[in-house]
Amino acid sequence: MDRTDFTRDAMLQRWLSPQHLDPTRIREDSRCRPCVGYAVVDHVFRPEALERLREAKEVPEELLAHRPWIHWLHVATDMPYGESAIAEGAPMIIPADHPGTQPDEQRPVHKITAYFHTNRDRRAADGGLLQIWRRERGLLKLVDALIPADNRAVLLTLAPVPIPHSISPNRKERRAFAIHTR
Amino acid sequence: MPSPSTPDDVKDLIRAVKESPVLSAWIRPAWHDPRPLAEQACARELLRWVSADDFFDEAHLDALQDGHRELQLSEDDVGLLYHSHAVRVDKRPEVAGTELLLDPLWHRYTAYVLGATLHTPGRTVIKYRRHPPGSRGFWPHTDRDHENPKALAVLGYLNRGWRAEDGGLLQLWEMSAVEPGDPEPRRWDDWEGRTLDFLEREPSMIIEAADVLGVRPMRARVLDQIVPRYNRMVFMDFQTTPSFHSITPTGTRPREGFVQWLY
Repeated sequence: MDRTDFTRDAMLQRWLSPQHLDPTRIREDSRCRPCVGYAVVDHVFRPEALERLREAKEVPEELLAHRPWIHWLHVATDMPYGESAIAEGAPMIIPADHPGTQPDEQRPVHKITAYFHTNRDRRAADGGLLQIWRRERGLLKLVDALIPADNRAVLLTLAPVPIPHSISPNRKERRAFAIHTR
Repeated sequence: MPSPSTPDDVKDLIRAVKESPVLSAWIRPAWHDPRPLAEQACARELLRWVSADDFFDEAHLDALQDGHRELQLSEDDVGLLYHSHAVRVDKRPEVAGTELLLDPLWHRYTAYVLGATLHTPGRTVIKYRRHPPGSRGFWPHTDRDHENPKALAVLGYLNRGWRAEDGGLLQLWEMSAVEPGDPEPRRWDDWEGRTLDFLEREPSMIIEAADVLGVRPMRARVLDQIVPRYNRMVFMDFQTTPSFHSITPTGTRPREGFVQWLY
């Protein structure tokens, strides 16, 4: 698909904010990050699509099955795409007073993980920050701490080298949907 | 002028932005509420910064860019390792864009985003800047100033379709003290007139970074690199963190934007 195919796709138009229909803009952010490929996309969904997501108990089927959407994820993260790529996903609800997670560097099954956050009025003090790490001289060093802000997507590449990432201690219920591709 | 600190203060700020004929026209509605930006900036302890995409109304931004291209720019920071052309416009209210950038409410907005206190409210320096094709880049430095302490910088970019390979990336650095056994630093004096291509290849280094009172050796680790894409704003604080940054050399395209400092 070229960029006009993405911008003309009806499903993508239903979901994505107009400025994000073309994933090549986001791809450049993924490309320029030093050593680790990830992108942060604010206002990712249209308002009505975001509301559909808030009400969903599972990842909506078309966000897992629609091929142009899976292709969009690959272009946005600058990952090679093949027609055999599949997506799977699940809601992530992290309760308040959760101690957080440790960075995971194990080679995963997936190539891309995309987190779509639905937390209104999220503050830094609420914790649950998505932390991005980089291994330097044998040590894991923090490079960024991202608020799981409402309607923010964080797209991470997990191949060929997974991006270590973690969630800081959480103080307020934290909601997201995770979509993985392989 | 302290940033709004109470919920009522920030609600007043939001209301003022929405009711301001200048700010409401310039800033897209998605960004009228600065709280998400402020929270993200606050979450970054190593270097307090935040970016916002699709920030301005495009018609206004295009008018600013058209005006920018009419201006006579001259080489800036002559003799220093910061290669660009620029012109100051903070004393030129007729120049497109200054009706926003000189507005005291805009200053309140940007100070709130970064949790900054404007000790000299109203004081600002604005430069319209162009890095020519093949520009040499900007050496890692802080904008902190001993004599005229800057509170923050706001950077706006005007480059449609900018790709990572076009260069001109804004780099953000974590700096720390050198340690025994560290190699000799990359020295400022060795790079006059030279393209700073090492910035493109080395995510960590020992370098004489340009600090408040001059260059000194530091351990540098790049935290992020930011594409200077059209209608992207970057807010950078100098009160809480020194916010060391640099710019990689450009390729074949000129890189356009503006920088505003508040004090």
